[in-house]
Amino acid sequence: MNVVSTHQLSKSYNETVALRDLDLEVHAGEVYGLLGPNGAGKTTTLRLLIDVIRPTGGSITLFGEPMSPGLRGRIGYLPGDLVLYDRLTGADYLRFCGALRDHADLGEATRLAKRLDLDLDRRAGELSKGNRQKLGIVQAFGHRPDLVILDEPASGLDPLAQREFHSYLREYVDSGGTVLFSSHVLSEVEQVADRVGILLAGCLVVQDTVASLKANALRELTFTFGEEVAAASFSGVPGVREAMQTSGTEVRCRVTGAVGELVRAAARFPLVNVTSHEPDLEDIFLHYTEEHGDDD
Amino acid sequence: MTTELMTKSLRDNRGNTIGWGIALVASVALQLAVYPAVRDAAGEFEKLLESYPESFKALFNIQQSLASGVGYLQGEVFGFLAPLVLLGIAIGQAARATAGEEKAHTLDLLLANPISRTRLLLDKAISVLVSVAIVTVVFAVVLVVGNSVVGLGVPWLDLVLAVKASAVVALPFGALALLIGALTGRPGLAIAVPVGLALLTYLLDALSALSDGLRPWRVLSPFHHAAVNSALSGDPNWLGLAGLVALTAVLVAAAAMAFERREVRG
Repeated sequence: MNVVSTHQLSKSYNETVALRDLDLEVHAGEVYGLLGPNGAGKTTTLRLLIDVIRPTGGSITLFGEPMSPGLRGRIGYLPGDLVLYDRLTGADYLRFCGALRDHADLGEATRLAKRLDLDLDRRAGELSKGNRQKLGIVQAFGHRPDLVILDEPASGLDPLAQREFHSYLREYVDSGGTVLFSSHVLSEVEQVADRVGILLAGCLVVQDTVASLKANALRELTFTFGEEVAAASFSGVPGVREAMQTSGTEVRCRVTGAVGELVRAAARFPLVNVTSHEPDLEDIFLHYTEEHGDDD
Repeated sequence: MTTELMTKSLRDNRGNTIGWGIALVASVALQLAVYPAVRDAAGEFEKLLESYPESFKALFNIQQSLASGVGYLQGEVFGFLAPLVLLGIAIGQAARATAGEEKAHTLDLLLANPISRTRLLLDKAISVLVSVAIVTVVFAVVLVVGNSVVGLGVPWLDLVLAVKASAVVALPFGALALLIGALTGRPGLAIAVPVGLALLTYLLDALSALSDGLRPWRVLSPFHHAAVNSALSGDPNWLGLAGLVALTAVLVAAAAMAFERREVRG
């Protein structure tokens, strides 16, 4: 089942298109990472889902229903621009949220705060940016929601807290929760997301599992030969997108899919060494960015 | 149904309410304390007042002799002080109700809770009403007690009704602040427009006593319908007050509709 589903979701401000025909699908029990550079429409998407702004086109369903006040009780939200009530302590704030959400039990919130090493007795106004972010995360999960929508959750967290938060995310999903988060940090998405959507200039350019994106991504193989070999020898090989001469005896190829054909072709020459660079999300991301840039 | 949001709004406004309340109580107490001296020197004051232009007296609601309790209260308490404080509370707090949260960027997270926007706005509106009511009650108590202490000789029921009329006239202006805040998300504008309108309609009502040309227009002034002076003289304009309450309800309903449609600024 899709926990989040949008159909041709669009948002324009006057002449500016912030989001164009977004078909986003977040499955139950997964961590979905919405990746994109600043201004790509990530925050707009999440704010549309949470219903603080309204679409100019298309539709949204959450748990198969349109958004309603009742449904919000099943959702946790961390805004990208997190501002808390300065005068309330963490515990006060959690009690306030708990009352509004009809969830007086602060057990989960207290446990998570402890894991993130957050002091709930201090006023939000006295907390550092990182600790405020922790409180934002704690309130998003505190009422044990079925879906959590997080806008740049790791921003401001120190590496230790980030690691703890990521492992908590995994446990939360394993216990049946669903997470949709945005990030412009590739390594974070690669580390925690099951599936990823890449958003560029208001368009979802790809939506797939991280594994499948990697499998189809360009990978780079560098061959070192015992004698001079021309790069042109490889340009016709199936899968090879580009072959570059890096020196007389060295050729670098960028290839998609299986590398068998290319390796067989290289083996016809006196091959001394092969190095392969595993594609990471950054390569994929850059690939789509370049491609998208070419469209404009 | 939790009252948490309402009580939080009341707490957030506590300083504002107490500040205005103290200003009102202290000023009223001071005015009442000097009343005996004014009464004893009434002859001198009358001469002084005769030299004042009529428009000045109209503006400050000096309609009767300051030596009489009713005249003194009209001029010194209900003319300027009471409307200023009650309007200040109603407009200031209502303007911040939703627009203040939006400007502070706390509204996104608040709206993510399982309460409807209408409910949120109504909770905030009720908390403003409670603040106004608290100050109104304190104001009435101080007046009734002071009245008997310094011997103003105004029936206590008239005092209570005049205080109530002063509070009721503030309500539609507060509701307008709520509406503008819900429409625009800008607390500054939500304060400026009702304050400007209050000033304009106050002047309209006050000066219409002097100008035949203005008189037909005074029906546009909530102050005319509240008729605080009549209430103080034992003749409250019940229909006018009911009209102001109805106008408030309409404006609050419009604010709720506007807020349901509001695109919260990021």
